[in-house]
Parts: sequence; structure tokens; C-alpha cells
Amino acid sequence: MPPVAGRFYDGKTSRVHAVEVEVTGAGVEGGFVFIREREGGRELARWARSELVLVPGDPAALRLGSQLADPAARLVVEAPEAVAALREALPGLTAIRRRHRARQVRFITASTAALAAVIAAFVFGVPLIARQVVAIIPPPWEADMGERIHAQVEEIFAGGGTLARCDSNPRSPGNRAIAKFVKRTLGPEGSPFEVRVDVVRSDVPNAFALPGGRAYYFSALLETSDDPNAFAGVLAHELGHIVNRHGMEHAIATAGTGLLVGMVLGDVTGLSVGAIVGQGLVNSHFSRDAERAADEFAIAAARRLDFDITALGKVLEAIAADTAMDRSMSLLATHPLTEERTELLASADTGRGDAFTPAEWRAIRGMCHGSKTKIK
Amino acid sequence: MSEPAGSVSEAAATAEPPVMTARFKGLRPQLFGLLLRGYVLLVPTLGIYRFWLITQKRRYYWSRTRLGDDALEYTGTATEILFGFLVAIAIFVPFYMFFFYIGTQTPTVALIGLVAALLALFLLSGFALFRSRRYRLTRTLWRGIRFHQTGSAWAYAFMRLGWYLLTALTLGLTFPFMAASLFRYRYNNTWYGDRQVSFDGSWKQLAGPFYGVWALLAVLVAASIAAFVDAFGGAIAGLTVSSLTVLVGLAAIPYISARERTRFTSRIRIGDAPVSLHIRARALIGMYLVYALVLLAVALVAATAVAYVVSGSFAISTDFGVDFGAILSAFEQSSWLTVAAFAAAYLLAIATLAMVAELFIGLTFWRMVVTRLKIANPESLDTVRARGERAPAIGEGLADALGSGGY
Repeated sequence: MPPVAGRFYDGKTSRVHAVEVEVTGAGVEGGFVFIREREGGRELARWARSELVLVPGDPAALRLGSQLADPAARLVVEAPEAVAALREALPGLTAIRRRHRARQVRFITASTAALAAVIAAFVFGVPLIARQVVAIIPPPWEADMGERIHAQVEEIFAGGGTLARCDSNPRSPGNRAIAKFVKRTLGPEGSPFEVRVDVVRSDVPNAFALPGGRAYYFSALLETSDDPNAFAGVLAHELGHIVNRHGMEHAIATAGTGLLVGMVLGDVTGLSVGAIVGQGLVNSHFSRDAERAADEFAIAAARRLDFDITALGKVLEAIAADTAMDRSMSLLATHPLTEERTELLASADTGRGDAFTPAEWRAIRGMCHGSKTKIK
Repeated sequence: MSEPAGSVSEAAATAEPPVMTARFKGLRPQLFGLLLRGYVLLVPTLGIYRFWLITQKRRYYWSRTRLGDDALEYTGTATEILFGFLVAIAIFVPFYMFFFYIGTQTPTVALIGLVAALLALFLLSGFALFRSRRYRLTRTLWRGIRFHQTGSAWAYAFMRLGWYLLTALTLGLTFPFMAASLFRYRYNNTWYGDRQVSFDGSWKQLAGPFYGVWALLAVLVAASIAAFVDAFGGAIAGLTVSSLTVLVGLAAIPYISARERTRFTSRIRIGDAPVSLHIRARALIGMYLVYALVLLAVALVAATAVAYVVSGSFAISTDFGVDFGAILSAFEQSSWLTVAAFAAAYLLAIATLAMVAELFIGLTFWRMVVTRLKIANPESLDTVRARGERAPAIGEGLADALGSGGY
């Protein structure tokens, strides 16, 4: 190969040396790269071809270093003919590039596999760990947290005010009927918390339980069915969440998965939409198990109190028949109605009686027919 | 400093002091290809590839940038920033737990806690920015000599937090002082080999443009308030004045930013080599306009595509007697599918936004700065000696975790 022109930096000073480059030796890696000053021919460096470093960057230029030289020393060749000539004289460069690439691919594959393992550990491990952690959290702590979440919920649903309770008198016939049902449903074991159920005005057919013993029943859901057992079934389901402390379990699991999603997306603060959506993805697996457990609790209660649980399935189906838009805000959004659930509820061999006496049911149905205005 | 165009003598041309200029030969389609490939690879690698993408992007910018006849070289590696990110996660776990904890508190406590946490995060982001700058400088080679950065990242972070709070309290009046102070700390701590960069500018460079705009905006805000309050002005006048205020406010940002960069950068010297930069405000405003137009075009294309897909699905479902509503509801009931679809749409949107920003702001701005940069007395840069460690050994993880990575 005839010598080609290039630029050389020795890595010690910023002086640019105009150089001539010559390659000796045969085969792929034998021989040297000689770097000589163009004027005077003084030898500046002699790099073994087996120790060359190919610096990635602009593919039109060739930028070389040596593992044995100063790590910042560089030989730069830019003229297209010179680049082509040098590439031809140094076939080992292709192998260097290929080796580097293979190493990167291996590293990326290994990191991805490690991350996938971490994700799997979180997805399957977090619910299990959350279960254990909940068991060691004293119920008063959870009740305390529940109160604060309650304050936040009021703010969210009532826009800074308080949720409009249909009937705020705890001694009214409706509230007494509900309290009696709650007591009977919880049975002799009771609940770790003081359970409080509020029927509130809202156009959204929904019911939910908070950590620490509070449950809400929205008036729109109460209006959907004339069957006392539908109301009883939904209520028993929510009590199942309270007794099993699903709210707390969910909060702990969310914290765990949020950290994971932050790791994947690079947003550890968890404030982005991506982090929230990602959490939903991981948590949906978890909430399904919780729904099944709450259904099973409701079925057991229905057997004990001798009422018909199939009404719960019918309520869910009735809501499912609504438009998609409404549904996204309703019970189903948090309580996905799967076929498995419907089957479980339909085939549950519970009693055939009613959960409330006709007088009690009339009182409950009448709770929201007061004069207060509805909140939207 | 250049002679009038009429002077033709060779002597005049050679007498003119030599000035080193910079060039950038990056092309938007090339960068687009690099970004597209990178964003696609993010999916099968569960996001891990972003460290490689950042590295490739920097390599692209650096290697296509020339000061005089010599290109910059980026020597950072993806593994360095990956390890940096892992370290950052460890730092963030307590933060994360705190965020979670205050989320369960009463609204008042939660608000106070959130403000405190955000202040701490802002402090931490100052730290991260300074450290990240150090990382990038130590990974930048020019003529075989490294840049590096001295100074304390914590000192910078506290300084930055203090200045921002003060500037917020004074309704922006201390902004020129803040900008000069932070710029001075960054650049006086910057080194090229054994040559320290020095900044001899001050708030005065920014005072004219900044206070002029500030006064104009103050008058406009007062006028729009007066027009709305006063009966004689009326709503039309109020709307006119307030929309004018918004327009001026929007143009003020690139205007001040252009002046700041131009005037401050032109007051720095690399050792004995004075630097000058001239960025026009209208070029910056043009850049943002192009960006906005491209975003608009992308949004239109996306909306059309979505409309087409949805109506297409409806057409197919009626043609074949399939109930599209049933499919939709089945889809909705599978929470995995729904969430996965949302996640995919979200990631696609985020990737598109990031790509458009990189191509029409990142690249445009880089090219603008590079092509308008001049270094006088360049021969003084022929004798620079290497100095400065390659440290830090791990990349700017904290900045990545805070989303302030950038170049």
C-alpha cells in the first residue's frame, strides 16, 4: 500500500501532526501501522495492527487508536481514497467492528433479560409481598390512612366539598337496616375496622371500599335494581374488600410496581402518564384476584344469611349493557366483569331468600329521595 | 473587524487576524434514521436501548462537528450511562417512598410535602445537570485533548435553587443576575486540557434586552387588566391587548435566549482564545415556528390515521355482520389488552414528540450554534497540554432519572 495522508494527535498536546500512514505486515493482524510526520519523516507512532482501536463516529472517516498508546491518541484519515486504501490494507478492522458489535448485542440482550426477570419478579412477587406486608400493618394504621384517603376522595368526587350523603342520620331506618346487614355479614369474627357504609348521591353507578373500613354506595347504583339482594350482594362484595384489606394491599402493590415502571421508563418520580398507565398494566393482574376474593366472601355471606347472590351478577350485567362511555366510569372500570366471575356468581349455590325485610328495603330505597340536589 | 468588501489587496487579507470557524455536517434524514431505529429497538429491549440511543445520538452530533479542521469525538459509552442510571435508582428509592407516603396524607399535609419534595427534586436536578455536563465534557475529545470540569455540583445546585427562588420572588427582575451568575460558574469551571475557560461578562450584557422586554410586558399586562376592568375598554379591546401580551411573551423567550447566548458566549475565552457567537432572535423564533408547524402536520396525520382505522373497523364490522361494539367491549373487558393498547399509543406519541423535537429543535439549534461560532487567536490552542481525569467513571444517571438528559 502506498502511504496515505492523515492527521495525528498524540493525546498529550493539542498539536495537529500532518502525517503519512503506512501499513506493513501480511495477513489480518500481523505487522504495524507506521505514523510518520509528513515533513521530515520522523516516526511519531508505531501501532501494532493487533491492538488497533476503531473509534465509532462518522462512517466517511477512519479514526483509529491503539490499546497500547495514550487512550486519547488518534490517527484520523478523511480523504475518501485514503480511507478506502487504509480499510483495504487493514482487513482486521471489520473483525474489530464485528466483535464490538457482538459484545454490545450480548450486553443488551443480557440487560433486557435481567430487566424482564425483575419485571416478572415484581408482577408475581409484589402481590404476594403486599399480602405479607398488610398482615403486619396494625389495623389502626390502616384506619388512619383510610381517613386521609377519605378526605381526598371527598375532594375528588365532590370538588372540594363533601360527598352528599343521602341520609346522614345514623339512626334512620335505612341506615339502621344497612348497619344490621353489615353486622350480620361480618359475622362473629367481625372486621379489623369499624365499618361505615355511606349511601351518597351520584349519577355514576358505582360502589367502592377504602382501606380502613369505609364504603360508599352511589345512589345511581341503588336505582338500577329493585332487588334487595342486588344491593346486598354489592355491599357484601365491598365488605369482602374491607375484611381482606384489599385497599391497603393494593396501595402497597402500587408503590412497588410504580418503582418498577419508573425503572423501565426512566421516570423514577412516577409522575408521567406513562408511569401511571404502566402501573395499571401491572396492577390489573392483582385486582382480578382481589375481585374474586371479594366475590367469594359475598357468596359465603349469602349462604350464611340465606339470600340470593345471583342478583349481584345481574347488577353487573345490567350495568354492562349500558353504553361504553358510561361503563368506563362505572363499577366495571374497577371491577372488570369477566365471564369467570359471572359464572361463579350464577352457579353459586346460595339461599333463595331476601337479605332485607320489605320494610327495610323500602327504607333503603327511600334514602335518596330527599330534597338535596344531586352532585354530578 | 473584517475589511470592507472593496479592499482587494492580499496584504489586507493576510493581515486580518486568523479566526477559527466551526462547521456541522449533520443531516436531518441521517439523524431521523438513527432515531427511528433507536426508538423501534426500545420496544423489544424494554427501554434498555435508550442508553445506546443517547450515546449514538451524541456520537452523531460530535463526530459531525468540526472546530477548524478537526472533528469532535464523543468517547462516552452506553454502559457508563446504564450504570449511572442504576446508581440513580438507589438514590431515588427514598424519594419515591416519600412521594408514596405523602400521597396517603391529608390534602394539606400532602400539599406541603409535595412542595418540599418538588423543591428537593429541583435541587437534585441542578446537581444532576452539573454532573451531567461534567460527564459530557470529560467524554469530549478535540485534537486528542479532553475537556473537563471543576467545581462542586452541590454548590451549583444550591446556587441555582436560590437564584430561581429569588427570581420568582422578584417577578423575574433578578433574571439577568441569575443567568450571569450560573453561566459564570459553569464556564469558569470548564477546561480544555490545561486551558481554563473564563467568562468576564456580567448581568449588564443582558440588562438592555431583558429589562426592555420586561417593561413592555408589564405595560401590556397592566393594559390588558385595565381594558378588562374598565368599562370603556370593553371585552374586544381586552382580548386584543391580552392576545398581544401573549404573543409578545412567547416571542420574548427566544429573543432573550438568543441575546443571552450571543452576549454571554461572546464574553468567554478558552485560555487565550476569545470566543464569539452570534445567534439571531429571528432565527430562534423561526426554529420554534417550524417546530410548531411540523407538530401540527404530524398531529393532523395522526388524527387522520386514527379516524381512518376506526371508521375502517366499523365498515368491516358492518360488512361482515360483526358487532363492532361487541369487539370494543370485549377488548375493554380484557384489562390487559386495553392497558396495553393505551400504553402502546402513549409510547408512540411520546416517541413521535421526542423525535420531532430532536429533529427540528435539537439539530437546528446545534447547527445554528456551531455555524455561528468563531474562535479568535486559534494558534494559542495548538499548545494545549492534556490534563484532567476521565472521571466520573459512571454516566449522568441522575439526569436521566430526572428526565433532564438532553445531549
